[in-house]
Amino acid sequence: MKKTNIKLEKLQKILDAEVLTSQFPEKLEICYFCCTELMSDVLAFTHEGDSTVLITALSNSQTLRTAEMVDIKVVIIVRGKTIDKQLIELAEENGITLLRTEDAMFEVAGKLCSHIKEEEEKEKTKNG
Amino acid sequence: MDKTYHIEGGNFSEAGFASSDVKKLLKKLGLPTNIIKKAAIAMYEAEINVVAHAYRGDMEFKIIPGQILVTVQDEGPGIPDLELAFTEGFSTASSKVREMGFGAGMGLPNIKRNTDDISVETEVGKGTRLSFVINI
Ligand SMILES: Nc1ncnc2c1ncn2[C@@H]1O[C@H](COP(=O)(O)OP(=O)(O)OP(=O)(O)O)[C@@H](O)[C@H]1O
Ligand SMILES: [Mg+2]
Repeated sequence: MKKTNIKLEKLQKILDAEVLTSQFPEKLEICYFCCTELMSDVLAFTHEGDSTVLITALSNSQTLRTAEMVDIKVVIIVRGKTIDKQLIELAEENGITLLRTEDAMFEVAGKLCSHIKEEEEKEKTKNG
Repeated sequence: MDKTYHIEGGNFSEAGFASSDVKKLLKKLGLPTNIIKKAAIAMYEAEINVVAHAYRGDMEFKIIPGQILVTVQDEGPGIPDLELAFTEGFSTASSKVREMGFGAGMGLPNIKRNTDDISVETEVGKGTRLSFVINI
């Protein structure tokens, strides 16, 4: 779980992710990333669901149920898996934005970490 | 207010329906978000445990002034060693359950963390009855 501050539209661009749901709250502020296939861990360790993105290779209904229980509003499925229409419907019903990227988890995490570092560097030079 | 839901063992595509339904109800009732979240997590973990480890069960949800009461009763193998079952990391989950993203041995400890009172009665070969209370 890494703390940062990034808008959903920016996140989507960085990961070149496809938006699968009709809703896409582009200005939503993301502060935490949770990268895992273990729904047990999501349930045990999510504290600020509203500003957390779940990034996972697991694309079944329990991924969305888990997100729903802890108030996670954005789920990104990695490795460009095909995603059932039913899953998209379940996401929409529960106000969850579902995205898909071709990248694997490792690349997704790498891209996000570099972005966060760059932003931190910019912040430093601005203040320094 | 009173509600009962049936839970089917092994059915992962339907799992979570009961908890989702109650969560929506609690939202409608306007309860504080932290209370709703605690209840949702505890109910969902209990529901998944029936799906993952038992044959069938029922979840009974009740809300009275000041308290949310949930009882999940199942027909199943029961739990031979409760203390062990409540240890973080202990799990007997099958590979099928693990493929669904569960089986980390975090569920029962997580239910305990999110509730104000919890009790378990279990009989090996018969089933398990888990009850918990969340103060509002
Ligand atoms: N309703 C049940 N019937 C039979 N056994 C159960 C039941 N609930 C829990 N257990 C036993 O207790 C163990 C621990 O349960 P717990 O919920 O903590 O972890 P888990 O279900 O294995 O994994 P996780 O909850 O992290 O997905 C289970 O692996 C199982 O052996
Ligand atoms: Mg469990």
